[in-house]
Amino acid sequence: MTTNADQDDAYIPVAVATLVPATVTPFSLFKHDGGQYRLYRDANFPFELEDRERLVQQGLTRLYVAGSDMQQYRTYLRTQLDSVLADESLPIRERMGGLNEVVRNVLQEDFARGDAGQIVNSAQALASQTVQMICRTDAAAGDLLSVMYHDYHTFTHSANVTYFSVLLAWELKLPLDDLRLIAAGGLLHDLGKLQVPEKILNKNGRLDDDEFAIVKRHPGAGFQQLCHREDLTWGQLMMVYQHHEDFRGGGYPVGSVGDEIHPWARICAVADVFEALTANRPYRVAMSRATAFDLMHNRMADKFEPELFRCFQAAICRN
Amino acid sequence: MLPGGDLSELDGLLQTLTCRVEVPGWYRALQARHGEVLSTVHTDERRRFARLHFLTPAILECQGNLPALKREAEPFVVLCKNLSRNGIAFLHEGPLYSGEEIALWLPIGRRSYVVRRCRRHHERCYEIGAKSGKSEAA
Repeated sequence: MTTNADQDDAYIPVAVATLVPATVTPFSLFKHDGGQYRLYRDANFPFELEDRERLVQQGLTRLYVAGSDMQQYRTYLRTQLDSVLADESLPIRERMGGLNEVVRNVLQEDFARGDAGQIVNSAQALASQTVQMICRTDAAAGDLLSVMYHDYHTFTHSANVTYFSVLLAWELKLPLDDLRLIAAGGLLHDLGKLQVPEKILNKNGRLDDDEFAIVKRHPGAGFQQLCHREDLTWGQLMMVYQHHEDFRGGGYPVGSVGDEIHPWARICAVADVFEALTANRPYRVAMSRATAFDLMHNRMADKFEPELFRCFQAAICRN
Repeated sequence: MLPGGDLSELDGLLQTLTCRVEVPGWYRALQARHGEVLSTVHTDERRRFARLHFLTPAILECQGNLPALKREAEPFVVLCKNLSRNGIAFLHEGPLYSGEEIALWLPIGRRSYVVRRCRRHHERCYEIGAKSGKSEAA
């Protein structure tokens, strides 16, 4: 049976790979066919392995969910994420896409609520899965880059900085336990921006001195919100506090130099700037990776530990 | 008698400790020009309360209230810069972090503060701004 769905309802594409076989989806699924959205599977019907195989044979990697059902989809995805990530029959890229959807969605909701405690809980819950997906010998940086969003939302930026930080930490052969902690720290690094007015964060133009002074408070603000917690390490707190410190001095909030900056904060600093340059902003479009690296190498070299920058560039450009 | 100990006790302790702050030139110039304690009040600053220059050594104790940061229970000699009704600024040999609870033994008595800001002048000189009272844990 096919039905023409309500044309006024927005339809959001979802990856077939995020639909787990032998589960019941509490949302309807649609195909986009000939300019129209047609019902493929009604809500609360099981989605089976044969269904997925048939879609793959047809070359369909995307189905659609009505905008009004997206919350149901996100809840479903969160509960099924482990299954998606462990499904070796799915391409790496699809699984990374599923992870990214969950991470962004969780952060978006938590940031909207402004609940620092909940953001920490979410970050810790997602850290292991993030490391699991990124730190694979059969995964390439290109797989990750292809599924990332490049908008200017803080939650998107935090997710991307996390991926880049973990990628760099893995390149540096840091222990697995450290990678998980770095992943959580990356998700938290811009927590202090909750206290920066949105009109400043999203300003369509350069910040004036007063506005920049407000933005420069966010590392300290984030640190103050987190420093009394017993479930965060000093390295994670320093990712929040020191990610705007420059390796050769002159950064903020303290102006620390070299080894005075925690290694994890130095990792986060590279990831943070690269992400900012390769993402769209209200005042400019995203740079290409090559342009971003060129800028970082030639005009911003004082900000980064040279070896870290070299390793990061190698990891990103390898595939 | 000053609360928390008298001045002679503070002086005695200062004699036994070494100040490891690398004193910046501007601080020495300020001391030389105006003496150790000034009564000048800067009223043109956009501050909640007026500040008094207060160029004197003091003893710092960190209370170790941040769970992730291990602090040794040792006293440090710091150099006060200025004082206001609800805060203080001083120079210390290393960084302190926002939210850290500290105690300062000053000529006017022992006071509790919470670190609010920290700015590096050079390797062994950090300017710390702190507010009177205890930390409000998040």
